[in-house]
Amino acid sequence: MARKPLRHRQPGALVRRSVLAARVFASLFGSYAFVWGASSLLIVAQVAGGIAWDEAWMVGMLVAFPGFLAVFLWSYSARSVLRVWVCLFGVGAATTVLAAQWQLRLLAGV
Amino acid sequence: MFDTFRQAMAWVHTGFGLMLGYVLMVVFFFGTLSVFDREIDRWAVPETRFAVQPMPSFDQVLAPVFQRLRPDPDDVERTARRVAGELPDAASLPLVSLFAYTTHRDPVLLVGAEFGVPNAPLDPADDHLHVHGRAQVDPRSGEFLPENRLQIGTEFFYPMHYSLNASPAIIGYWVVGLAAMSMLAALVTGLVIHRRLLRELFTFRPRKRTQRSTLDLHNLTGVVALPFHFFFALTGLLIFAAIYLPVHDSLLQPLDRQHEVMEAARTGLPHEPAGVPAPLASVDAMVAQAKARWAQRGIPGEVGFLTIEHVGDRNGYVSVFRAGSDRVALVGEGIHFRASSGEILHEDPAPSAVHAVSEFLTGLHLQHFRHWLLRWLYVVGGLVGCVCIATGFIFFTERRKRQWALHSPQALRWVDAFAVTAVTGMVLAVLGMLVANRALPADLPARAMWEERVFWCTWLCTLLHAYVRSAALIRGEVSAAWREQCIGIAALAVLAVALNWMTTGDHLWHTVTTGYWPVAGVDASLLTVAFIAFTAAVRLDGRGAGATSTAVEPVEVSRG
Repeated sequence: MARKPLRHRQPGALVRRSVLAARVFASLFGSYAFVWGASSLLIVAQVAGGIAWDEAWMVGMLVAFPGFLAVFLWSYSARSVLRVWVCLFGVGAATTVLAAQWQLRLLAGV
Repeated sequence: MFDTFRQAMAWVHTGFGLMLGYVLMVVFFFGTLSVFDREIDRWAVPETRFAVQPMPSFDQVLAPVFQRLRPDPDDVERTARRVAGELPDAASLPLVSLFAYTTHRDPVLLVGAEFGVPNAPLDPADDHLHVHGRAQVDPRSGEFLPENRLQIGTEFFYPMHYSLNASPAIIGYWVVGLAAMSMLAALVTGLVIHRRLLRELFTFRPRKRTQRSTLDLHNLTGVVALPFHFFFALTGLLIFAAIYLPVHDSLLQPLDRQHEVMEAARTGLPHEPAGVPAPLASVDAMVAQAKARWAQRGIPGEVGFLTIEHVGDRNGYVSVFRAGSDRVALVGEGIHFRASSGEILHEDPAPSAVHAVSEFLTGLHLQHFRHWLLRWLYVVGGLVGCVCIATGFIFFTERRKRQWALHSPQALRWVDAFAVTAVTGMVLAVLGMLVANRALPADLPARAMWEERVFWCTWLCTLLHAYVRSAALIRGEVSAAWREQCIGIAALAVLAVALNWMTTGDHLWHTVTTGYWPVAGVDASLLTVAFIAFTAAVRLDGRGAGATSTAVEPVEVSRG
């Protein structure tokens, strides 16, 4: 981009570009992983709470897209790129596994 | 890396705005045209210029239509690659489900069907494998519309809006989805950058420098239609939620399938065929019964959507849905009948709160309700969005023009050429297609494909033209391409109206006096576009440098 951010320290151009690329990557794919897991967990939790699947799914979707917008913007405002990666991919993976496990227990219980 | 929150948000705004602004422009512009997609269809396919028709009799008209309906050859070819062994002759594949769909704006009826495939799928997870067929039908006679007619509004402009007509379409869906998300991000970040909401709303200084007035217009249009833009980007994403976030089809597929089976048990609508053949009772009688039930409930209405599942099977059922002409939700109040006897199996209950919200959000985006003033307000909202996006990238180049002219004149010329292509070029491509639609011989083989080729070629030509004629940018002036393409728009729009008159005899005076508004509206809009484009060209000529923003943008504003 033509507009370069001001900075206190002066790291090399290559470092700056890599950090920016890492942030852009996480803002798209990390946010997707986060929303994937979190909305799945939200849906499964609703089903576990007795809400019909189709309604739970709809509520999950209604939350997922504004949720993506929020974490997408957060990934640019957060100070540390490392934290963005850990939070987005970490929470995404954890909630995905949790949702899958919970689903198994729900199906076994029926 | 970003010192302040605002700086970070500004980077997101500029970065994603520039990368996906062109896509957004396409999505907003073709979305705007899609508000009147069916009216554009009438203009483009003169054989369908007759009065709007209700859902025709199934027993008399549609039953023979579905007997003649055949699988789509392209879909047969795609399916053949997914199954073991050779597919049997396409004409012999059995019809397993069918639908018919119409709205209060359709003289023609859309019908479609799924045909069963006896072969085993190569991928065992690939269940519910079918080939599809669809056709447009004249409901008065049951005749199919001629194959080589392209309903430009519903079959080209509308899919352009959500898939860019990309092949395969899934690529287009994802690019458009990313663009919609960028729109949401651009709106939020735009608010963070500017902060002074109320002041932006009342600030437009057209006589200041181009850079200043362009930014004013960008802020004004962004703020004035903020709820509209936010809502449409969000609901657009929600309509395609199952594509963008397919958890129901992957991670949570077991729950989804379990629900399908439980739902079938709860409603009594069979999930699977019985494998025992059964005749079809009178569907007209079921439709009459459904209408009577709606009238009893105080919601008399027409049939908008009719489906039959498990055709010819003992488990077959007919679903009759009420058209949504009088409310926001698309179709609903479904009543389901046993196909073999006509007895009512299930009546959809009133939607739950969650379903009602979901139907409302979808319905407000797709607007199939009957209200012409609201329909025009959608057009205004869409065009305001186009102005907002276009002024965004014009401002971007204006601000960097002097610097870039010295250091990277080629980049400056290309960026400006893309801006021209995305604004006047896109209008030219649309007009080129309409002109081709009227000028090409009626019996030309693959006529539809030629119309599409003219569209893409015209658009490509506008890009080349915009680049070739942009030398003036280096001197700090406005590229000649803006003015010349405005003249092109005026000429092509008038030509399209003239060709419509010559080939069909439906001139504007005739359509207005006989009250045939679909064609009269398209013709009148074309003439308005011609007038505004011509005015813009004259002003661009008179003012030279610095006229870009005030003179070119109104071209977009008139498009309807």
